[in-house]
Amino acid sequence: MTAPANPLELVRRLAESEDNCVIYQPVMTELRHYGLDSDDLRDILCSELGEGHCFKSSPTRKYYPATVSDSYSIWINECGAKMYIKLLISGERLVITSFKKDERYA
Amino acid sequence: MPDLCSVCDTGTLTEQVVPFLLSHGSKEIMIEDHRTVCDACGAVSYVGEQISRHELAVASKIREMDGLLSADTLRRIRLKYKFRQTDLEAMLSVGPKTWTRWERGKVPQSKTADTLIRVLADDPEVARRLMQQARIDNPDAAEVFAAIDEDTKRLAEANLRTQIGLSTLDINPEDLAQRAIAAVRKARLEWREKAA
Ligand SMILES: [Zn+2]
Repeated sequence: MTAPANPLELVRRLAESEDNCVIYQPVMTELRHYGLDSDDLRDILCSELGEGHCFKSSPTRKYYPATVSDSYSIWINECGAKMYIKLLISGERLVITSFKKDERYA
Repeated sequence: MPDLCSVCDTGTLTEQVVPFLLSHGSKEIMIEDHRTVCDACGAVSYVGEQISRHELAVASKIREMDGLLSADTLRRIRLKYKFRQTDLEAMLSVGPKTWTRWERGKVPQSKTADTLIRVLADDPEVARRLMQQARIDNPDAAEVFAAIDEDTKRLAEANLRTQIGLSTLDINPEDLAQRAIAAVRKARLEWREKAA
């Protein structure tokens, strides 16, 4: 377990509205694969994700090391698997760069 | 400072409207996609309202390709019987929040579910049976079914009167039962046509 660099309180607050979010295409494709949508993902971030799910925190940008990505692993019923979620906060936006099966448990 | 790409750290992001090739089963179709693209690594992301716009466009195209009921129609069917979203999830034996998702429009229902939904939309007896099987306690829906029963009874009575009135006096119980069944059947059909 690692303490997330991006405060979960802020992640949850940003995840409440789509307007504050950026989702990368592979995340959208994977959501569709599991019959989920972005509202589900935002719901999971708001109400299920806890500090205990965070297992890695690492700088995202070579040139702007102030930005740090947090990696989470969380069981999602609809996926029937532990899912890997990677996110960061950039400015006033929550950026979700990864959502896929956590291969460490595959 | 323009937004920087979260994948390559260097590229800047621009909003684009480009054709997006959607693969669904063995079919492929082009949709117009509003997206954000990195000018260095080409990573595609969806920002703010682009997220829902993309999901709704994809789901609506899949519904169209598979000939599925629209999200709006699902909502109308549910409200016709005053069902809650959770009622239909139990009736169709689908996971929690599944109907909610279908009605939200971003995830299309399966073809199997679509077939069953069409049947229950068309035939209140099927809807009632599924509700009973799932042991759903919904007084509002029960009231709707009571009203449908009342209506069907009235129509059946009228139909039966017409049938008996037109016939001769040689009515035996067997014949009366046959005519009653026919009258109810006709009444149910009339109710369905009226409700459609
Ligand atoms: Zn990039």
